[in-house]
Amino acid sequence: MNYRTVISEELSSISPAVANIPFSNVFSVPEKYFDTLSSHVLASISANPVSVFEGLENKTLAVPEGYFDGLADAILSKIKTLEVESVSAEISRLSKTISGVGNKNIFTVPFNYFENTIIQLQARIPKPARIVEMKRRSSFLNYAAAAVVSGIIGLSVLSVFNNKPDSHLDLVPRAAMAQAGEIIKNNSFDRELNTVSDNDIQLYLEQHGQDVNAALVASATDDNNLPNPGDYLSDDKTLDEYLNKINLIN
Amino acid sequence: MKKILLYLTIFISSISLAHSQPDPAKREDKIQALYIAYITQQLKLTEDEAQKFWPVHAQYDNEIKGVGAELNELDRQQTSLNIKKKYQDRFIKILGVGRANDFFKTDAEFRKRMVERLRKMRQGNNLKQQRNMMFRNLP
Repeated sequence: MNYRTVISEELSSISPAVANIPFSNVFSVPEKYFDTLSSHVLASISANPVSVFEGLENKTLAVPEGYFDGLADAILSKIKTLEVESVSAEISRLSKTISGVGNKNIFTVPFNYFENTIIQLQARIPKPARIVEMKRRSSFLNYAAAAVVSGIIGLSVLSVFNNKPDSHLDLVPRAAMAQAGEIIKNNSFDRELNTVSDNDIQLYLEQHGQDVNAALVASATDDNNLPNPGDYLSDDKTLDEYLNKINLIN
Repeated sequence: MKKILLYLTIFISSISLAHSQPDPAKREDKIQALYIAYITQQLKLTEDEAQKFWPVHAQYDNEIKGVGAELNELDRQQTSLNIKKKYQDRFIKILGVGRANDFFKTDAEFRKRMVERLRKMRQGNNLKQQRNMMFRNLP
């Protein structure tokens, strides 16, 4: 549509008279002209077949005699005689400015342009991530880890089962009761007491709120005479000597 | 399958290993047995009395052990005394007034005997050390 509009406008500017002609076919032929045309043409050819090609045999294309003889040599000699214009002369003729440039390099870049550019570009390239090789774990470590986990589970299970609900009877150690029965039966209190270790006695006493060191000194004073009060004033080492005497300083 | 069996074996071994660890409570049993024997003999507890007495005593003992060591001496003694008074009536119901009173005395006597035993062991050890030092210093 636009194409037709553009053509109409152009035509109007060139010839308003032609542009005003409506879009209609102005040419016409007689009615049924083409219906009988081919038969008329064939009829006239068949009526006089020779007349159509008559005189053509004498009208073939021809060149002057000896036209091509020496044509190539003539062309070459003519070329050789022509003055050949040099490239610089041709450029000089076309543009004095370009001719003045010659072979000089007219392009420049800032100093160290490419060096800096390359460094900057390299800095922008993200560094490749460090490749950490996954070492194959030894089977020993697998078993050790399994043993640790199993141990933890085992201890947890034991601690759960050992935490029995409080009941008064459970608070009395059954093993201790049985052992006490044996001690009474055998009348072996003193003998058994001699087998108890120093640490166990100390732990027991501490658990029952006893100040062990104070109790030991108090126990020793039952059997030994304390120094006279005046001795502490006359000699400041009296207490140390007394404690050494009762052999309780570790 | 083999792996499962292996892990199962390790698991069972861990449990038995945990079982074989010395339990500090077991070490206390010896002194506890001596205590039970001492109190039973001194108070002449009958079987019926023992069955009633020791469960109450176990509660009492737990509370006494729970008295904080961080308390100052007077507060600690006061707290212990309060616990003893609290249990006094329960002991009286089982043992009667006289023997309940004797229980507290006997309890203290047992600890005194423990202290004496400890003192004798330490004195013996110190004398041994002194003797060894003397022998070492001889020309």
